[in-house]
Amino acid sequence: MSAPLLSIENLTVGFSTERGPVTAVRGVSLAVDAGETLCLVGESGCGKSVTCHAVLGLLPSNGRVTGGRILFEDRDLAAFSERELERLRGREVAMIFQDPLTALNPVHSIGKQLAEVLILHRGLSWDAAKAEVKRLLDRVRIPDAGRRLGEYPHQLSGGMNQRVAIAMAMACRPKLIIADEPTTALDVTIQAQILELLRELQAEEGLALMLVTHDLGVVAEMADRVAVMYLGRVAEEAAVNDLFSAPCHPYTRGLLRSIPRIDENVARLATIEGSVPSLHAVPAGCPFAPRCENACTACVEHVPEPLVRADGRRVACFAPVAA
Amino acid sequence: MSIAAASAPLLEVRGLSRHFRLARPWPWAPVAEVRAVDDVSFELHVGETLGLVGESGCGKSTTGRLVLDLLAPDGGEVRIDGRSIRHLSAEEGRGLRRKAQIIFQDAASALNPRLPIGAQIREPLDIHGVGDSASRVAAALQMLRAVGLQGDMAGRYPHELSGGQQQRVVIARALILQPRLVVCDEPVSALDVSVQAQVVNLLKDLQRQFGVAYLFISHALSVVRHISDRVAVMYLGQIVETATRDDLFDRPRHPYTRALISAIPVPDPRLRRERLLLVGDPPSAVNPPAGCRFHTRCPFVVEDCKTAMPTLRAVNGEPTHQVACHRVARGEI
Ligand SMILES: Nc1ncnc2c1ncn2[C@@H]1O[C@H](COP(=O)(O)OP(=O)(O)OP(=O)(O)O)[C@@H](O)[C@H]1O
Ligand SMILES: [Mg+2]
Repeated sequence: MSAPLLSIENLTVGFSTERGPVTAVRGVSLAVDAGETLCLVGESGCGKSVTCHAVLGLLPSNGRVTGGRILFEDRDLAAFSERELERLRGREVAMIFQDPLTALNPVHSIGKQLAEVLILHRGLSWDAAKAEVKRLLDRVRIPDAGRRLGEYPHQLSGGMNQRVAIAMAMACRPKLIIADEPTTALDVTIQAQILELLRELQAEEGLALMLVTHDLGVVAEMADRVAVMYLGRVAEEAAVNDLFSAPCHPYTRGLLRSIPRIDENVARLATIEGSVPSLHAVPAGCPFAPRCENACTACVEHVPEPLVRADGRRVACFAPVAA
Repeated sequence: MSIAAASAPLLEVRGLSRHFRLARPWPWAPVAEVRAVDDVSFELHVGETLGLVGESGCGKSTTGRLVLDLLAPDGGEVRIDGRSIRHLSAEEGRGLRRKAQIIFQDAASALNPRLPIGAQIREPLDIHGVGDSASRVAAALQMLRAVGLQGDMAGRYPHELSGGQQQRVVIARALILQPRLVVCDEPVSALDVSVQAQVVNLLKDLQRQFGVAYLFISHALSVVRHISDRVAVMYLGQIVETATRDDLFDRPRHPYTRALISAIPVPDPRLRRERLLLVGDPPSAVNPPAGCRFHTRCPFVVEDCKTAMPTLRAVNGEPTHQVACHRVARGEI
């Protein structure tokens, strides 16, 4: 078996804050194989974005990787210089954000900024870049691409800007795209278009996709594998069908039960009692124990390590849901 | 709903319109007007929930604010209990505010950061001079418990609460005067799914307990399905379809409603569906398209859609199921 494209091993990320140090990501291990989609899902603050930022070396100045390793094609990113990281981000891994404007420059036309990326990172001539820009914009289904080249981000809708950001990400023919809630700010009909586009690009270019979302519907639609995060840890990781048909971790089950569905009526939604604790008051044992129906003494006292089960799932739980 | 439907509606909205003039980018630019709400009519009965759905900018929130007279309409009328809500005397205005309340998405900014939550829940009683001070304190405490918070939390400040708990406080304050109507504008959109379910359940419980009616405004269609008795779908300032909850979600007729429902990802990987994908973005509400406003994105568009504006008509032999579409009216789609 070949090594995964991206492998995150036991990653721990800390921040210094006014109220003291916090650990936002605690011992997260994940792997993304070439061509596959891994979804990271979980409630606000569970560490999805921090994990992505750590991979790309984009943590804010008060944040630091305090443990673990990140390997891209078996190369340890910790050993990368700032320049090498820059190259990695430009060429091999691209990122798409919730707000496409983070990736776009407001003062340059979209044609110009795309061309610059192509000239800088792929060494194209100006003429070749121009043709390639047009091709990329067509590729991400921007209607009337030739005319749009001269437009600026503020002249485009959120959905169109997200397409441009995707074109920007594709410009360098990356092997992996990390997309952090790329459709959360968009209307559902536009979300459907963008998800369709991502799926299509992925199938045709053989890209790997690490997709962050809090929407289990999006997960069901996009993922090959899913990692459910809670308070900085991976609670459960499984193939998408396994996760949805038989969740193992009580938190996964709780999440799945608590979402209303568009295609059926339920008398009453199931809930998970309480709310996610603050990073300044992380419980001693399993982080989910205070809200967990299955919690036993061990759960309150010890942190369950993620264990790989016979069916390939990884579950961090002393009292998993009975099959 | 049959009993409620037979009685006079609690809320009647007729031909409601509101346009906004945009600031001109330069002095000689033509005046641009956004038709945020354009000839909208609906009814809401006692103890009922009407879901108002649509994408950003379709006019949902403006409709909610017009209904409570937080914004003046350019045309049309809103009646609560059969009485128009415009041009009320000061006394009548107070009466209206007791009867009708609003809850917004952002609970944190709706609360006063410097006032303990118990006092905030009690405040409307103080303002309206309901009962004596001891009975107000007792009522606030009771309401605090009714929204699922511990009585000993009354002395806490908003920043000591989670987002879900803050929204509970907002709900408690909205319900303390026992209003008959609450406009809920995206009340759970900012909450995490596990907490969203708690608040949705709470809203349903409180409705059962107090008989309050909700105008539930949301872009989250699955939440709307869960909470609503009836649903109205808006597109560019107009209602394009309205029906009972099950008719709307299980037998949608308007092409926009169908596209909207099929765009919602279903949390079941075995159901990855073929969908009715729309092309393009919604056009701007400034100078909206002529004819049917949806025609620029509609996969079923024909010539007359581009010129004649369709009106709501009953379909499926159901007077409660109304659709504004020429082709649906002709039975072509
Ligand atoms: N710059 C920072 N300084 C201090 N704490 C931070 C910083 N950035 C993130 N955190 C904390 O790290 C935790 C994880 O944050 P992260 O942004 O990864 O969450 P998330 O899972 O992406 O949530 P969301 O769904 O809201 O995007 C949070 O508790 C957050 O407050
Ligand atoms: Mg995030």
